Amino acid sequence: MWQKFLRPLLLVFTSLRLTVILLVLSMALVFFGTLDQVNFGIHETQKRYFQSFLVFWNPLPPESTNPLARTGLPLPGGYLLGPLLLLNLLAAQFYRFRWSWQKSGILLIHSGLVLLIVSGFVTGFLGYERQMWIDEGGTKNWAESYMENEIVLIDKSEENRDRVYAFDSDHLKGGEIIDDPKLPVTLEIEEYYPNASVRQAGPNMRVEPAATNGAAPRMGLTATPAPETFAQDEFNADTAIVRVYDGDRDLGTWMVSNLLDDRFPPQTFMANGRVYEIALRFKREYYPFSITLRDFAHDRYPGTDIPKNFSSDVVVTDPQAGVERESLIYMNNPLRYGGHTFYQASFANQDTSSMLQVVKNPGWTLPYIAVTLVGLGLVVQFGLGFFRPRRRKTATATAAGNGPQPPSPDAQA
Amino acid sequence: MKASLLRLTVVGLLPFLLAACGPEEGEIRVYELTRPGDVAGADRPTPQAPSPGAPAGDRGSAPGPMAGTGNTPPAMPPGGAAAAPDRPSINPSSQMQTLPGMEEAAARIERPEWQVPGTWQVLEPTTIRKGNFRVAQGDEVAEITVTAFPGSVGGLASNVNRWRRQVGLAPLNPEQIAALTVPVQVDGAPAELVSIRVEEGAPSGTQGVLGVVIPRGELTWFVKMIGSSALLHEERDNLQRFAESFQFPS
Repeated sequence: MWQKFLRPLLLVFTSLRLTVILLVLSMALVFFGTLDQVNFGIHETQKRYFQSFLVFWNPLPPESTNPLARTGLPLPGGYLLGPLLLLNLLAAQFYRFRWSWQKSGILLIHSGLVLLIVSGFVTGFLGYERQMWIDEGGTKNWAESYMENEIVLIDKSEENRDRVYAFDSDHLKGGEIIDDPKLPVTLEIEEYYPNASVRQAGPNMRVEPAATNGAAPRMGLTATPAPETFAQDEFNADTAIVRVYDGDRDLGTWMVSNLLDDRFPPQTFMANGRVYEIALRFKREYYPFSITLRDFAHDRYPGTDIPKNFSSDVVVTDPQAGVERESLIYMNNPLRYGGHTFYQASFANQDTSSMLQVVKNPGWTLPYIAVTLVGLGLVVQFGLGFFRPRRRKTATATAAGNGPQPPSPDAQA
Repeated sequence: MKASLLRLTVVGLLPFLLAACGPEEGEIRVYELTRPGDVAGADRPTPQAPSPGAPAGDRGSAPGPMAGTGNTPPAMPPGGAAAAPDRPSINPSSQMQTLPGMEEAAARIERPEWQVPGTWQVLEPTTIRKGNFRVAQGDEVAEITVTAFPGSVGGLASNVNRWRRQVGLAPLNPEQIAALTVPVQVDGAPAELVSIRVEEGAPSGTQGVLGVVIPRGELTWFVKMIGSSALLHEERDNLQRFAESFQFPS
């Protein structure tokens, strides 16, 4: 019974027609995604087009108030096309192809393609990028995202140690209550703005500060929602108004924003007899090792301002592993340590600060293996094909009587 | 046929199993960090503005108009940290990590003779800080440090911009910086007195920097006062007299 239902499905998934349709849709996805990079930048486009199930392309800019801007051409996203392609390839491989040495090249090619698609998923789900700014002579053991944010509560009560409670803030909504047994207090997100205009009220302006405690009343700060930006050289000022409850006790509200960064004094409150700092910041990741920037070099071609080379002379220190390793990071020569890759990405402060792009991608080796498999498969398949026609030709020639004749029994005699 | 279907089902589920491996969005992460003084706790380093892909030189600027919002968020860090005497140092440089050998090199530098103003509290010097002082007036606090480093340490503009960033101000070009400096004489040699947001009657919590940059042989000496803008305005003459009292060992 179930075979009656599954068999037609199997035929659909194993069809070459589906492969063609999926490849055409993939090309369309890449084409429209490329067009939308103008509006959304590379990261948002990647998220919208390749890390989604469905996307609507619209030629109107995102800030357009035209009602048509809310609709668009529907396209299957990467998370739909990828698994379907994978399924199609695997189904065809297992169902249509017969295993034989003559087809071992095709098997290798298909294995490589499967691995390539899988590596895309591994990177999409498990990989991430961070930024690590280090001043010359400085040491860092953490890097931060430049797109994702987190709300943190930091217990500052211990003499030498901080206990950090963190959760992602990018998907918060106004009115949401964060009541988790892991958290020492209950938080109510009164307002959440993915981008905000934070202003300091002038001396003659009668404006209520955005919150009852912390920086907002002290500095007369107000926050109003602003349209999100996707420009490469800008970032969204994620801002939230958070009410804190210590049990049933309402401690008031705090305005937290990634604008109020390390240059500002921490915003603190007391709950359960302990002192907590509250902040919204770019999402951080701490490492068990640290990196010291000994020197950043910005070489130019002699007599010009044309950059020739950027490099960071760093020392990696990992006390647990007993490692102290020197490394020079420059273009196409990243540092790989602890499952992370550190690329030279930017610099600032009159060439005294360096920015390293920290990439963690557990599947970084998979594309290399996949491409090798595909290459090997092509060589094998063409190699086998190279010999096959000769044998056929020989057989054909023999049948026509033009080729070399097998020795006759008479001749042998 | 059955085996094919089974294999098909298993491999078809693979992408979705992978999807399940991703971190949950609402997950609460709890971890512990060691405070500064230890590398693992260096979570309040030199102030750095997070501007992805920002052009060189833009980083570290005050959070001015950004994100297409045209907003002008507060440019100065308000007080609070400085007001509490038991809080850690208000000077961002106090959390500076040093390279192996740097402290030994600094220890070999001999400090000059100087005359400390009577209102200043003398704190314990360190190998890096040749002089370490604090001055307080009510809730207003300022810290004074004397340091020396080999070479020009990036030059005057670079150091002034570093100080500006520490109080949340955007960097300036060399011409604008020249307008902030006043030439002074220290032990018979020229030096520069720099004023960054030193304002009479500035609101409580407004932070500024007063600094004297003294090139001396192969070293550059820095006398830096960071803290309440209003207090800095009152202490300006004291700082200048203090720097001018320097007598370097011959």
